[in-house]
Amino acid sequence: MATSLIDADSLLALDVGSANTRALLFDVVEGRYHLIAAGTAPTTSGRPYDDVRLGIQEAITQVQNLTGRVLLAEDQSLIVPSRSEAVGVDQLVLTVSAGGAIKTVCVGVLEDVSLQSARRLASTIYSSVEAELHTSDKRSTEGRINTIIQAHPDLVIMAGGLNNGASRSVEQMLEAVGLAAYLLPPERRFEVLYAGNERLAREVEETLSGITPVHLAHNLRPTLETEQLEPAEEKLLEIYRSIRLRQMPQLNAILSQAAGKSVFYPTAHGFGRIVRILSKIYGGPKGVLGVDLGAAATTIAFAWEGSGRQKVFSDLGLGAPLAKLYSHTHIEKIERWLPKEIPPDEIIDYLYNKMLYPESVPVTEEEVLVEQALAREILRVAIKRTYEDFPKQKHLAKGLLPAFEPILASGGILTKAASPPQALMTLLDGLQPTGVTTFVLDTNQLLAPLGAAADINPILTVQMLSTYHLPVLATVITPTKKLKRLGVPLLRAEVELATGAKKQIEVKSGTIGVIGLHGGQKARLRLQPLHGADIGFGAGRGGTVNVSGSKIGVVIDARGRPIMLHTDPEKRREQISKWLASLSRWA
Amino acid sequence: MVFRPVVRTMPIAEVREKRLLPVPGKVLVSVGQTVKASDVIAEASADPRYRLVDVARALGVPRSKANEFILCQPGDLLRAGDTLARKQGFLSRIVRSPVDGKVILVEEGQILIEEYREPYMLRAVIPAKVSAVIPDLGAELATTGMVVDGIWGNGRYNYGMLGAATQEREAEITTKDLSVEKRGLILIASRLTEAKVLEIADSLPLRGLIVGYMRAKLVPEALKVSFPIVVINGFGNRPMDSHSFKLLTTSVGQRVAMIARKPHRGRPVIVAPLPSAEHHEPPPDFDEVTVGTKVRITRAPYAGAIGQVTAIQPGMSQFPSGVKAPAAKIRLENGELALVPLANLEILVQS
Repeated sequence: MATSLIDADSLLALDVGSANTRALLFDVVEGRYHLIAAGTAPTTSGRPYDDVRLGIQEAITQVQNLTGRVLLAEDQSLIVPSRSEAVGVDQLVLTVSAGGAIKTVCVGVLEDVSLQSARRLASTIYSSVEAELHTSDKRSTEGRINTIIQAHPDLVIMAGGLNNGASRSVEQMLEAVGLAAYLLPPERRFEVLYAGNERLAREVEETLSGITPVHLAHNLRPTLETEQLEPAEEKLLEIYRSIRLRQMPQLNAILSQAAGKSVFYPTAHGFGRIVRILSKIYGGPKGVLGVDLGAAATTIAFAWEGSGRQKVFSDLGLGAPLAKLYSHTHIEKIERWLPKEIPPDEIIDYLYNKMLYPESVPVTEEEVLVEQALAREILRVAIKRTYEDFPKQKHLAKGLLPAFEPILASGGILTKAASPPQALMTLLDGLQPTGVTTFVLDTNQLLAPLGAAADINPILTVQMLSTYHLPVLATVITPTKKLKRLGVPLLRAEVELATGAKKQIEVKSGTIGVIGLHGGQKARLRLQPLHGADIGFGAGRGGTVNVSGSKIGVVIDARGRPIMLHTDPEKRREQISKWLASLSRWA
Repeated sequence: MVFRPVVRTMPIAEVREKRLLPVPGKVLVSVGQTVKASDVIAEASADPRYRLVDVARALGVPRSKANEFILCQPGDLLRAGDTLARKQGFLSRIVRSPVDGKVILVEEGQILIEEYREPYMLRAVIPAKVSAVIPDLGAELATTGMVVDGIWGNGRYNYGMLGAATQEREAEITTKDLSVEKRGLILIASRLTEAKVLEIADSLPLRGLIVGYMRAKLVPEALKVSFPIVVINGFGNRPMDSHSFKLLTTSVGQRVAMIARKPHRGRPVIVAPLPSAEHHEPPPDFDEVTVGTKVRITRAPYAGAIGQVTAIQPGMSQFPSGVKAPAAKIRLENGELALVPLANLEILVQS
């Protein structure tokens, strides 16, 4: 690590998404790290290109053209380390979300203990759980063997048995896993990650290592009450890299060009890490939440005081997974968020066309509205599935989102959305936050690469987080209450600007109010919720918050939790249009 | 440089199609061999099932002693009912094979049997010559002829004579177009919106259906029918693009192969083998978009339209939706100049 930023390393981050590949160049300017330039090109890892390098080289070429800095040699290899300020780069960060979900089978002993933990571990990367086995699943050994084989897994995660606890159940599962691996041709054998009873680790290794690659990690559940995923997560990352490098062998060449000066992570891991870093910086009772809406998957990352993780939903993405979304979501759940009438047949056509052309861009207003409605439904489902993973002491009543501040948002649908109000509405409707929070938009999609870069250049990560100033979309105040009537005052606020000027505002239930407060401005808000609504200080209790200006300002979302949508479709569309207009006036 | 996928709508081209098993198996052809559409070129045990027979428990003996009573060994072929193990004595006990299959493993009083299942047979579908063998997976078949790439298929395959459901590109196929004379044909239809059409088509039955656009809500029914369906352009209620429609309808009466691959296995394709003395270099799978490139647009509002690139716009362009993206100006066939995101283009190759 550089002791002085005069000699600091320049860094190139490559993020290979399923739709787009981005190249981001960071270097020191006037003593601090800055983002120098960014390039974007369609990802070329899949058909018909089957060569991830084409998209990477195109994205890097754009950075070259913008900066005049030569990063690629004549043979298109990366120049590492830098030879001067104008040639090459010192470090490489590679984050990947392309490549499809890793097919996984989870094997545990008890369904709601070890199997649940195995499932949670699998969800920290881009995986799809194809089958689950546990001792009470009524399967015979041959049934388990057949289940594993027919799942065609890339990976089997084995968990179960307390440390020094009973071993018989684990051995039964080991028999099935071992035989399944043995029966498969060598080129189709899965990797095994064993994170169960540590007393059996040697037996597991001896049984499997002659048949298939086996990785050992500390027990996910050393006791019934304790769950520890982090040690196994490290091993899982190794397995992820190994599988991805087999699927995209061209990445080996790129990484070897920066040997010893590079890191390679799944994008979701980088994103989760940034959320944990920020939660440590901010501290306090509120956690930090991150949402990344990608083409291949959606990631929800959460942390309190440095502790947390990410959850990846490979069946919830705005590209190839859309057809699956349709198979388990009623079309009405997407339709309900549209501010204009679009026939259900056209919505379904849109889903399938986006699945066929995931990299394509919505051009018409209708297609953007459908895409944003889809984003809301995806967020809603993802948060609902994450709820059980939030610490119990952070739970609010009846499945409401716990208190988070800030909420970080990433993903093209949000960062490239037509307008900041549309991005904010998508987030508010999908997440339905409570209390007081700030929404931050990852406009340049830096957060995941910065999280990964912390491994080899922590100074860069820390400086970028502060220099970048995480552009704030809005501060949102939600008087949380299940509404019984609309049009009733739900919150009164007094706004006092730094100049001393004051203003009163009253927001009625079922509406959105906005206090226009833009970049550079500061204000103090005295808030008084009415009719027992809770803004985070307790039901009916007021309080004072200091706020800074943002893109949209201070938004008071008095639509209730859960949001009350009109049952009549035409009135509902009118309602949604009015809400969007309330935000758009100020942006 | 911007690369986009190439789609073929070619009256005559060299066609090389890989026919691959879903799992490794056995390839039955060799390079240079000529195959008919119905020939099996490879086979595999696509969905193996295993049975574990617990001889120790069945005979009531300890595991360590059970192997003494086992009468088979790995590699033995079995019929259901064959004796696997026998314990003589006052009350003799016999353990029999529950299935036809093969013994895989005998260990610690257990016998692992691979159940016999009908192998998955991969047919050529295209009458062609084997130009390459892909070990354990299949073969590349080469021929010359008409080729049209699609975008979605229902996973089925067939070979048969091409017929037209309707003559007008704007028309959609209805149940009235499915007369008895259409039985056994591979039909061309510009657009498909009614589920009833698929039901009637399946009962005729047709040998295949090629559509320009299909309503996505019909996907569940399309996956169930017995014949291949290839969607050329996408999902919706629009007519097939003009080039594909013209090429296909002027090929009525020819025999075509339909390989209606599902999206995760690649593009579906329609091939009509035709003799040709000339050599035709196959186009690449993808190419660079430049001024003059002929393209087809994949998304609204110009979905299915064909045109030529007149300019690649610098930087990002803004669209009516407010979204910004790299774009190109396209001169459409009707003369209109359209601004289209580069990501919404396919390169169209016609010769």
